[in-house]
Amino acid sequence: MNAKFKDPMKINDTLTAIIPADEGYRFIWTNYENGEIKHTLWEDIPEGFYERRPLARAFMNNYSIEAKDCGKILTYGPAAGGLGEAGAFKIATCGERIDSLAPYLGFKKREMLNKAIGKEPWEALPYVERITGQFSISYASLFYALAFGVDCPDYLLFAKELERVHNHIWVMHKLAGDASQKVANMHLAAITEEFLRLNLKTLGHRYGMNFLRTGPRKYEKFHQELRELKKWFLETAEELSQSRIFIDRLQTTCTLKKLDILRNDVVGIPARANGVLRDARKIGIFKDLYRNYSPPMESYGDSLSRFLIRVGEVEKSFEILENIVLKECKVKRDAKEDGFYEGMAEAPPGDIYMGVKIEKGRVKEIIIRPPSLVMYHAFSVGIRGNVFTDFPFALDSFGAYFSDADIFGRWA
Amino acid sequence: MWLAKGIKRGIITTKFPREEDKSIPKSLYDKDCGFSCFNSCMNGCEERDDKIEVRRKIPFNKSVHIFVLDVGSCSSCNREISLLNSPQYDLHRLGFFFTPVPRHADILLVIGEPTEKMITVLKEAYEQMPEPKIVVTAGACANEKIEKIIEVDARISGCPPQPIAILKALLMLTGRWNP
Repeated sequence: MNAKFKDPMKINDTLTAIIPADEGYRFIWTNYENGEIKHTLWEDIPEGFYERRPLARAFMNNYSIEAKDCGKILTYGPAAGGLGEAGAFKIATCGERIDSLAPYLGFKKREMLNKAIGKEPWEALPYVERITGQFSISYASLFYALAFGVDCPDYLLFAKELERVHNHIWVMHKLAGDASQKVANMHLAAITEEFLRLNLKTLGHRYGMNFLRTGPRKYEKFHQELRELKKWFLETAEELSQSRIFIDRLQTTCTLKKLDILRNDVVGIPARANGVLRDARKIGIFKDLYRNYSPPMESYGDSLSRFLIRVGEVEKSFEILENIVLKECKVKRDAKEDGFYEGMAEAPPGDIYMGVKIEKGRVKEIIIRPPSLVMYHAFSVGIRGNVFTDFPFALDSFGAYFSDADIFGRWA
Repeated sequence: MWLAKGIKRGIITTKFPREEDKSIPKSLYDKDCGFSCFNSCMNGCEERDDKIEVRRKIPFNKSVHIFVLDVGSCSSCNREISLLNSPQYDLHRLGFFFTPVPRHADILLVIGEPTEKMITVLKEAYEQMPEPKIVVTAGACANEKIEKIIEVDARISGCPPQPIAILKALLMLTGRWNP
């Protein structure tokens, strides 16, 4: 197979995951034009595949970096305060510039999803919610849609947009802090905290971890508080976008060219920051909820473009939240019949792929491709040639989490 | 301009510990939810504050440095701890500071369910701390699992615990506030 191998996939077929199967490897592809998900089963990783589809390295944990004659390889993490999470990077450098970088994953390989296997789908839900706290609603709503169907769509949209807003604002908070914009940094932290309190009042949890069980909670002051937070955010974002120091630090930092995006199968915010529309909101399981949505796009592919995309998305999310009229709604608890269900959904930084197998009314298998795995890969491509000072601006602009990246795989 | 707008907005920092802050909403918990259960509302919910248990009080007359170690969290505990620096809580006004190295730490604040790779890191961090080596676990994942590895002085329930609960635990532990 190796000598004769030709990639049968078209330009729109994005490599979504590679999962070890009984007799080889299952390759999962997503077509971002029509939303079709395809599977190919190959005995082995074809020769030259890592060069042709470098994202495969992330799925196979096949990163390798070599130092130049003058250089060294450093390991940054896993308990380094600067990363804020248990994760690490291997960095090759001659001193000032980062020659190459590889994510060093596996420190947060948690057993959370093992606890979901063998349970009825409704009982498995709390474990799925805890895959990544920041994207809890995205994971829970995708799992729910696959195992139960799309129910209470307005409420799902409401919860998903609340999650998007607090995540994006938190990323901006970190970027402002990295760029020494401490006043903006504190404003954005304060807005995040207020937003999380609003989540608790409306969804029953600061990160929405039980939003499907509690259902929409009545909070009379929701729209009033939302208006205030919107005003506060827009004022801060506007001032931040006009700060020359802030712009200077983000502009041309960790730039991904369009070819990098296509070659590395990058999706989500980094793709849209380069004018490549890869967004599960347009093709995924919740596409009907986002029928009239046009995602913000940028064209330079640097950290500043990713920041501007987030500002645009938050503005749109505020509009959606202002216009949703929530009715009392209790989601159904009867799962679908036995079978394998798969789909894509948009989490704040990028797209999640999930496959769920139900057998005898219980969860038999879960396959997950988290967005953060793609984000760390994209970061490793974009950061090459940047100086060390750019490291935080670059990393934080992707909004990825190690807990998310480490959940990748097949849980059975 | 930011500064002017901040002044116009007024003080948003909580008055706690001078007085109880009623503007902070309480968490929703399952009934009979202990230190290690997710507040997932599987069997109905009740509103209450996160539980705090302090086993050893160590009064400090100086500023206190905290080393946060994530040994396998879902990343929401990390965010709650980071938010202690937000203007609403402003941890520094109470003499608490985060440190990036365990050798400068008075308190080891552990979050997450320990993964195989992080147990060694946890033990190493604990060994490097100076005496009296105070350990706090925050969140359902860390509670009970960490005390099988190292001695724990205080724990906070919640999934994740709210920043105000972490703040209360730190103040209780250092003898600066009593409920």
